[in-house]
Amino acid sequence: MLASPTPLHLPDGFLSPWLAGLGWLLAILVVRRAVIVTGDTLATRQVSLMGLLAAVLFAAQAINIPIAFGTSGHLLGGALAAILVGPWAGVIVMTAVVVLQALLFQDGGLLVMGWNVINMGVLTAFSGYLVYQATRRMFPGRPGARWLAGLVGGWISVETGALATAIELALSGTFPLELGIPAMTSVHALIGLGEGLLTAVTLGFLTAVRPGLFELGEGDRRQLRSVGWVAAGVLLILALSLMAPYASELPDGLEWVASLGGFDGLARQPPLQLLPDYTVPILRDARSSTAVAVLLGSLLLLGMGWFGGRATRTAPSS
Amino acid sequence: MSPPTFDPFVSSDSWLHRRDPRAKLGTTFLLLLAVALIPDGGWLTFALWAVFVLLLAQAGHIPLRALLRRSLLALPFVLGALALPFAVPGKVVVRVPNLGWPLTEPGLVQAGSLILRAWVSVLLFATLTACTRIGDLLWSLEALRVPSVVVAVMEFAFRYLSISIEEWADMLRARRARTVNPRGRGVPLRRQLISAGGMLGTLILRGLDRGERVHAAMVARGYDGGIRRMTRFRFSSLDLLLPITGVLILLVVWLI
Repeated sequence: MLASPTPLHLPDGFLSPWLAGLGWLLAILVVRRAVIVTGDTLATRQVSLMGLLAAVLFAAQAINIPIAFGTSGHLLGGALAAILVGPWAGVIVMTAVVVLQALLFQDGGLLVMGWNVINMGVLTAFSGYLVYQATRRMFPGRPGARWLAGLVGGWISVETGALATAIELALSGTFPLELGIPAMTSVHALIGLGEGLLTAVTLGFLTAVRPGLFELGEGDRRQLRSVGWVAAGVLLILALSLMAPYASELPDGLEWVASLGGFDGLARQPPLQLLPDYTVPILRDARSSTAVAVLLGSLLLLGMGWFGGRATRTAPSS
Repeated sequence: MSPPTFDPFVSSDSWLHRRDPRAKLGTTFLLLLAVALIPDGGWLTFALWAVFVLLLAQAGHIPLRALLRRSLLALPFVLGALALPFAVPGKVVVRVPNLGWPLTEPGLVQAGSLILRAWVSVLLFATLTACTRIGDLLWSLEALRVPSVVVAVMEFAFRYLSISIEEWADMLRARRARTVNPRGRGVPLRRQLISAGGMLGTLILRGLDRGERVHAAMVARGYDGGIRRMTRFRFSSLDLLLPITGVLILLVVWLI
């Protein structure tokens, strides 16, 4: 068996069509941005390097390494790719991996491919890279700093992907949030620990063998800020979307918990009403209207993030 | 270890094989959209779809067994769906003996529909990829305006995937061969991790070095950043039939 199913590759049918569409939109925008950003710094030489790195990460995902206690290590690789070639090039590498996995093995669906690219390609690479850089700066000049930063970055990257997946499943009404978040994050706390350890030891080996390798990924300070903007934007969109179901009539898990606890009336009053009484005549059910409301709000936020990112790009590099 | 084959059925020939990959990709997207719109508890619709997909696979000369094996990949999520009958509130159908956990009717309907929807979707997607060359699919991605750098990276990754996987398998086998204790019992975790890091790091370095060599060889043969292909597709009226059918099915599902 070449493809090993991990609970991060969303299959088709688990997300509502509206949310899947939003995922495609987000993925297209971020990947386009990645192509533009890397186009400035990368020559044609880097295309073959990114391709080979994608092939290697795919291989490392496909066959597990046996580690102690009969368990096996499994590398997702988003954080590692971002650390090695930089976050934006890392997004392109991981996008290639995710799309190929879907096309070759149907590991991850086609309709939900946008979210798979965001969860496993963008969020893992960006969160892993940000945490890695932040941790490394906390211990400047220490020899073990890169090792520790790889451990924490790898771990956080997987947890971020898992958290985003749980939120998307809740937004589609597939799994209630209070079921999805604990299940996804606890399983991935373990998987993420494996990811962090493998990332750390691989970085340790590469530091010892070829220290010059890290110039590409760690050199450009400008990338750090634009990555922060986009990561914050995507997470904000998810958080905002999370508020939206409160505004709809959809009986979801949260309301069920509320009815159990006897504060049914409280739950009817949304804590934050987004686009109140928003309904589109063509769309019949409440869920679709909510999704459209989410879409509009997201576009707004994305636009803000876009201009923010542009502002940092035109600023003189320090 | 024989080289892994990723697309074992593309070499056979059928009406479905000969269609334009752009048409197939677009139609699959439309059909998946239609499947996603099937309401919970639409059992008859699900049954019709399953029959439709299996007929489609028949038309594409795809062995049923291989297709079903592919569909097992959604399993982790399907296992998650099994929690739903306990979590969704509603009329209690039956309680788990001894534990007293209630299984609710709406929960069962929701979980069943979810599993069926995922299963029909994966069968559809597998049918598309089984009767289309990956190279052609990547070409259609580029024709559908995916940035050519991204497609080129995918192209490279696909071309060197077999080598990378074999190299990785070789390394693991070599470690097994020269280790007295292949399962690693009693070996400190630290040592095992260092060994794993060495192997992964070596795999990455070999990959990057191979990338350098391949690039140099390509430049020597006139590579300018664009990939040239041998196959050319022309969108025929037969190809147009696929997306039209897709739109019709989607409209029927939407309006009912």
